[in-house]
Amino acid sequence: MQQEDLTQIILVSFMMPVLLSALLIWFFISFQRRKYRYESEKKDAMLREQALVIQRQEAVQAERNRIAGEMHDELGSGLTLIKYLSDSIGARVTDSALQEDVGKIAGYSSGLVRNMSEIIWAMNSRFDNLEGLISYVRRFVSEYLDDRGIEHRFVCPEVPKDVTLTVEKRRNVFLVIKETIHNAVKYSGAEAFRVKVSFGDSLDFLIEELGGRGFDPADFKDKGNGLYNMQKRMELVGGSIRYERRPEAMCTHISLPLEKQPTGTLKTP
Amino acid sequence: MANYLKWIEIYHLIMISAWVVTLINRKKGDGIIRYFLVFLSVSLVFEMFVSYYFARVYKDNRLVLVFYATMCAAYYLYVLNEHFRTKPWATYFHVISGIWLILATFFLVGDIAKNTFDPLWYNLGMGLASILILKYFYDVVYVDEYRNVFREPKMYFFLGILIFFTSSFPLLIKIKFLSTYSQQIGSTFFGLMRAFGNIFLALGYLGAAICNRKI
Repeated sequence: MQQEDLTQIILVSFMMPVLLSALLIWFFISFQRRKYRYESEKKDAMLREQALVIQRQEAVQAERNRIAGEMHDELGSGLTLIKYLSDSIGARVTDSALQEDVGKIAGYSSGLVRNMSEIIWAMNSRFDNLEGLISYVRRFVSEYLDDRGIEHRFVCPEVPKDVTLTVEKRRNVFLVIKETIHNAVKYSGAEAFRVKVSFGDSLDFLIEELGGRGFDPADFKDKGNGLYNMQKRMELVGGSIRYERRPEAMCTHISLPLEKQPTGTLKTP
Repeated sequence: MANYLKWIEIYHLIMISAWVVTLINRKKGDGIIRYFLVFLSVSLVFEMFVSYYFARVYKDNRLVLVFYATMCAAYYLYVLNEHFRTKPWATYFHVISGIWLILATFFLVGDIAKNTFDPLWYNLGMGLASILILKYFYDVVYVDEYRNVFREPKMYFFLGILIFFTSSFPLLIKIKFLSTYSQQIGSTFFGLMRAFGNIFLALGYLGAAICNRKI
């Protein structure tokens, strides 16, 4: 009886670890399978989500392009027509008061066409890149300063390809540059401008006002919202704006961070 | 002192490590296994002092051990109750655990009074705990949403208990036989199995202690 008990104990003592090992092996194998399945599902879900995001972005882009196209075709041509008709009427009327009013209509129409052109440019996904922004800024600087007979120079190295910029970034940076040049022309009496563009970890614009008093932001700190809005616009897109007075020129630095892509190209964050 | 040092085993040292880790982790926030530090503290006092004292002074510490073991089983059931409290059958489990605790305490007091040792109620409690630990493993694989259980303190805690119980179960059933009729075989065989089980149990505590903090 005692011998039988002992045999039973030894048998059970060996059986239990064997059963436990079997259980643990089952658990680890099943758990690994579960983990693998979970990770595959997670990966699939992520891919599906990415596809959905891309699809949504494409739909938004298509819609933006459609609106931009229709604005250009319908509103743009209408406003241009109003401008030409106003000019034509203005040339024919003899009443000076009426001529002045018609001139205003033509002026407003031109302004609207310009503003609308900016909106169309911002909306069009074709320009969602660094090249789009630089060429638009270059065109603006040239047209704006030529109209006012101010000398200018635009210095820009070769623009990196495939650097995407969101509408928000493009529009805000452009509006800040526009406002900077407008302020400088209006308040500092600048005789010439030099705009330098550089690329590194960020996209940097250096706007130098040569001659004149130089636009000093300190003088305008408590007047109006212009400077505050510029600061806010740059903060909104993760960039910065700062002013620097040099002996030869008043300088405005506008900077927008760019993110390096693994391939070596740049991308905005 | 030399006698006492001989008393200290590897699993005691692992348990001390688990206690220290739990104490350090305690500062980082409450643990996922509730009252784990209290449990480890009480366990260490029993394992290292009370048990030694009874073995030295009264030459028999079985009653202390069975009291301590029943307390451990009760704590394991408490942790399992906490873990399964959202299950629809949780109420039945609470009731069964409660009945077990009352009966185990009743018979334990009887054992102490009669100075006898019967591990039946301890085995029943541990058996109940083991079934639920198996349910825990089953849920991890088939029922619950996937999660990395290897970062979960309960995983190590339950695994340690399961290994400990399966290694000591056959001996606990026939412990009287082993210790009475075949002292030599009993001491070597039982000693080996007990050491094996205790080391794994202490390692389970240590694993749980390392993971036992809310992140």
